[in-house]
Amino acid sequence: MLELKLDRVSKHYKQKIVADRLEYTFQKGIYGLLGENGAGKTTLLRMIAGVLRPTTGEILCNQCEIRKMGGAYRMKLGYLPQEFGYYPNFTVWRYLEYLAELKAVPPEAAGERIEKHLEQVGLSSVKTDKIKTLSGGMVRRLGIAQALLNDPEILILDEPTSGLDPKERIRFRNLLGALGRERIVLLSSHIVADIEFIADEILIMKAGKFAGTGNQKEMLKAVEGKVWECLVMPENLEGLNQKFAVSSVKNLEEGSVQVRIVSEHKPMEHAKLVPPNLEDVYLGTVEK
Amino acid sequence: MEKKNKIMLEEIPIDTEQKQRILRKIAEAAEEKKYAYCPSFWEIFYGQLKYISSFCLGGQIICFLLFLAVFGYFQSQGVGMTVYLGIGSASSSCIGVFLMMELSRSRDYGMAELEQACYLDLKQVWCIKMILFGSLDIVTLTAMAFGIAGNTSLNMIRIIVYLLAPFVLSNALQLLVFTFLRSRKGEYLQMGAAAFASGMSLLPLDHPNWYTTAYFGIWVCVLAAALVFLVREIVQLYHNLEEGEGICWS
Repeated sequence: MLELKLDRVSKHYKQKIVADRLEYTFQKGIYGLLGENGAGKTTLLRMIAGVLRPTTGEILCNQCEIRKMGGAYRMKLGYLPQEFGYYPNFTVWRYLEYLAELKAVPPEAAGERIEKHLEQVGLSSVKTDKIKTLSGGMVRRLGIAQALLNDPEILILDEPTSGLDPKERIRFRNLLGALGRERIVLLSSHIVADIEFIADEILIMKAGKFAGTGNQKEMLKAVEGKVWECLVMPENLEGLNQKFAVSSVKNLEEGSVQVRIVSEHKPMEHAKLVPPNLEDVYLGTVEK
Repeated sequence: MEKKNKIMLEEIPIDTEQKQRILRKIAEAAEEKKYAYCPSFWEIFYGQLKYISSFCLGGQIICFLLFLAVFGYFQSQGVGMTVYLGIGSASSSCIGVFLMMELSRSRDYGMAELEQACYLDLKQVWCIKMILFGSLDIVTLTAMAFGIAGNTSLNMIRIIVYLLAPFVLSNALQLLVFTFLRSRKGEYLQMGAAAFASGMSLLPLDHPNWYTTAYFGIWVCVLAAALVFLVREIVQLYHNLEEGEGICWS
């Protein structure tokens, strides 16, 4: 049984604490990492990918420290960094072939796997094109394909959906849904909808710590009775924004505005309780 | 001697059904085990060779051919010992630039983070590239040493020191530039550092007495200091890769 454990993992950059004594155990399934920019998501994923060394604490894969495992750990790993680079003069095929070599994919299986993953991400038609001629979304899909090349047991995807159009996003969700059944998939995003549809477990990060963890049901339960909806005049919106955590604003035809607020107490007289969604959970957690 | 009686074991009955069941379980467990392919050194080496920039590899080879052409020209002109040593110094101090340019490609194009997370990580990839380019450097330096020895009265040890001192010093300087720079602009500074080192290595041409026995001790000291500097830079580079902050610098 595959298990990845964070054991009081911290990362400091000079005086700044970017990850603060993180503890969590991952098993097979899809984990969504949510948090504002600068919350420490990318740093955590980099440490799990073995690219960045934690200042203190350990990351254990089946009870073995990942740094000590070295190549044996990296062999299990598929990683899509947030800032995904490429050699611009490489063609799509050559690029994947190069990474297949680095990932020690058996040469006799490499071609077949490249073909399969290009098909999965819808890039088969551009396999002979140079990467520099591809659109941003296509490059991102190429990044997803390379992460899958070695059939990883641990798949780490940092902001995988950034730059993807709605159709590509749906295709990605479906692909990941199938992949997550037999491996640990860790993906970060600051787009709640992406995580909401895919993740089995959600981890919300705030200032280098896990501010909330659990499955969707548990997390929604935590904000039940704290989400309100009310109608206000547009001129009152700024005041409300300063006073409460406003999760959504909708302009109505009659000139008023429908506002969704996450608050422990009733924000105004005519506000009514509504069932929470994951955006409310996220907002309620990070604005706490 | 008394003959020992043989112990006869009674035949153990085999439960064929259970045997089949166990064998099936073993086969299933074997099926689940992932086949881990570990490439050999030569496979890795050949694999890297395919993806090395043709500009860097070609540049290194052209540099070597250029040295041969210039050397041949001066040989036909029948110039003095100092000129041979000057050409040797200038060439040896600039040949390292192609390795540095090859190493910096990963970082320049934002590939370093991804490559570091692969089975064959950046440390290993860089190590292979260093071996490859280092071998070409050795071939070039050996050709230079024999070329100079055949045209001057200097002994081999002195020639080696005169060639190695600018070579090692220039490589250490370029590695220092490489460790500090992280943007694509670094490529030009890298070339600038090599040009600067080559220019500096031509200085003894103005002072031919620097190649006399009296100054040989100073050359040895410069070489020793340059070696310490180079080793320190390599250790620093390794440390940066291990910590990861040199890769994840955003």
